[in-house]
Amino acid sequence: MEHSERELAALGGEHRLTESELINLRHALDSEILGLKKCLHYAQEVGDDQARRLFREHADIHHRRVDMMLALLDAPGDITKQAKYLLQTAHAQTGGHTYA
Amino acid sequence: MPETHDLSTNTRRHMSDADRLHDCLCDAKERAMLYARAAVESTNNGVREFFLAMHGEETHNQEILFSFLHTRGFYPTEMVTGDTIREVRRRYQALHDQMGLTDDPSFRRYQTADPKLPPAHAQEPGSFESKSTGH
Repeated sequence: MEHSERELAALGGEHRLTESELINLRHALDSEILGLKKCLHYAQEVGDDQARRLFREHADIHHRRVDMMLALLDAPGDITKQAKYLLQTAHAQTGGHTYA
Repeated sequence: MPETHDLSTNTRRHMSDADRLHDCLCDAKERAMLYARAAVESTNNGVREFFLAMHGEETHNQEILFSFLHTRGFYPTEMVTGDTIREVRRRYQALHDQMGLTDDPSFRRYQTADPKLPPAHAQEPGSFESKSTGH
């Protein structure tokens, strides 16, 4: 669903997300932050070098997602355009491998 | 040269490396389901695509973690026999036959309900950039 400029002006930047979308974003952020903490902690504890590298890579993934979701919550204007812009930017940064 | 280590060895606090990887695998499965549920509950097209992208990436993470454990023997799986597969096939063929369907299914798409915009990753790079910075 996309909003017209007029609708956005009337909303004043509010009401960009449904209650359900915001609840799910909060759940996702909770999960990603916990995942980030776990991966960083496990990377320190683990004895196997390959496992350590895997935990660090996953920590980076969680970190990047947290940043993206915070940017989505910050973004002014039409949430659909902002979400797609974030995906496009991430897609370009990851060389097109991750979000395609 | 990476240090080789027995993943089953318990290190600090009675958790082995395999336990830690299993823990992250369980989390990845839960998160993949969370993102799938979030996508189907989304109203905004962009938010839906955002959650679907996260879902795709998380299932990829889950696959990597599973593969890491599976190839090292810490996540054994058993293959079913051909007889079991044939039995399932027989059962559902019988149910299908009971329905009395005579025509082949069509490949028609529900074009009237298709989203007007293609997925974000299929659009020109930067096509949202100028619009998004205008607010």
